[in-house]
Amino acid sequence: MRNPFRQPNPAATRIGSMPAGTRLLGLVLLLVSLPLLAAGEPGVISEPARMLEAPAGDAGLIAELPAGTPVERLERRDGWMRIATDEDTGWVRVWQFREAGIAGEGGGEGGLLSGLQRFSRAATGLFTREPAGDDAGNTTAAIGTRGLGVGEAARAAPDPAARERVDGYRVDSRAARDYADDAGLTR
Amino acid sequence: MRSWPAIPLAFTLLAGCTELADGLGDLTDSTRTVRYAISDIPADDEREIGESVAERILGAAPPVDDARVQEYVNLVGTWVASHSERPDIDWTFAVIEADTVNALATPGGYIFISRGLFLLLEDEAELAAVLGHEIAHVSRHHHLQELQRISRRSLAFDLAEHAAGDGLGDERLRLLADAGIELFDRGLDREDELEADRVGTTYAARAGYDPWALLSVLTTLDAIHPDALAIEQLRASHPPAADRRERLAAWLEEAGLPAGARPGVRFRAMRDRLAATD
Repeated sequence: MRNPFRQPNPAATRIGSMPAGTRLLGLVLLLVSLPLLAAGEPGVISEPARMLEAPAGDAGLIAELPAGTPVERLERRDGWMRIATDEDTGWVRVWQFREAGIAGEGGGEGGLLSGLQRFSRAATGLFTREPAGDDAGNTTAAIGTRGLGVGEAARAAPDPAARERVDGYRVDSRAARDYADDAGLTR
Repeated sequence: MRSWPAIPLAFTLLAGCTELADGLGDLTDSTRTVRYAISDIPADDEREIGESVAERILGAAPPVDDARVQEYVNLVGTWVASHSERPDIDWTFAVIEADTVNALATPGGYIFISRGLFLLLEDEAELAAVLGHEIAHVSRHHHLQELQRISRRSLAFDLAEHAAGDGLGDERLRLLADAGIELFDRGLDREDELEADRVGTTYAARAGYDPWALLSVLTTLDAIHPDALAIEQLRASHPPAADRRERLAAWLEEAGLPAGARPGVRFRAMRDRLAATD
């Protein structure tokens, strides 16, 4: 059965077998698009970060970047990421860079959680609380929201039918390996 | 083809670090039996306990009704688990209907991740990291060890003395499931959590994922307002995310694990499916 999760294989057409005109067109398009290819992947700084001259904890400081700073990703080296701001390039820790445009906002005050709020409308009320002293009405956002909060599992009746349903979702190791292979994880 | 001997070799070279020494001997040879504090709990009993605990969790937060999402989390989780010291148990994964940020594991290999946490993640490497952490709790018998301590102290029977083949019986099973559920609120030993971060990351790295991905997850968790209801249970039951990140980052720097993959396309497709039914 065809694996529904299989990602399409990158084009396997051999360039050498293409007609000469097609290859020339391809080369021209490649040269024209090179400046675009050289541009870094857009992202955002996820927390206050020190941008350093080299990928080492004791390297010289170039700039302190606040959370939400839009940056471009240039290079990854183990636990470090080389990034570019409007003014400089330097290195931050890999978890201090987040991709933008897909999951979260590119910057600004939304930060990490704006993407979450877009994805989980029901949970919005669970992720922020006003500082103490503000109106207490914010706790009502939790009422009726699905939760697994403190004590809830203890009060719940067991559901053996749900457990059997979940058992039915198991996969064998061969299927898991094939799926990993599709994403290049076995290379 | 990835050459895995390079990774355990890297570990064995780092002799000075006691945190690495703890449990490293186990990781250098995946075919050797892991040192358990308790090694004589029959697998059937362990599974029976896990089923009881799983039924209670699912009673509070049913499985998400999307077979494709559930199949996906099983494909990723089973792949990561196949790189643990217990590849042959019935690992079972599910996304559950809870907006709070939780991931839970039971003895015997049930691993649950809440909808709330799934939606927070960015890519498949982060999912693998979270699942790897939970898999490590099971492969290291963290919950089972704690249940044994509880059984001796408070339940008037010793789990380890129970003979194989008899079955635990309904009453003992109920007591153990109660205790197991309470553990999720109370949390495991802090060192067990930190060990699960390291060991789970190692499993995910063996499976080809970027070992730095758990640090991104911890950064996300750290960004949530500390009073938020969404992480109330997580905060009660785990060391602070910032502490975990600091310890794990230091360990990763020493371990020198290679960068690994961060596949995103199929993860985001599944996350979009979940988001559409939110």
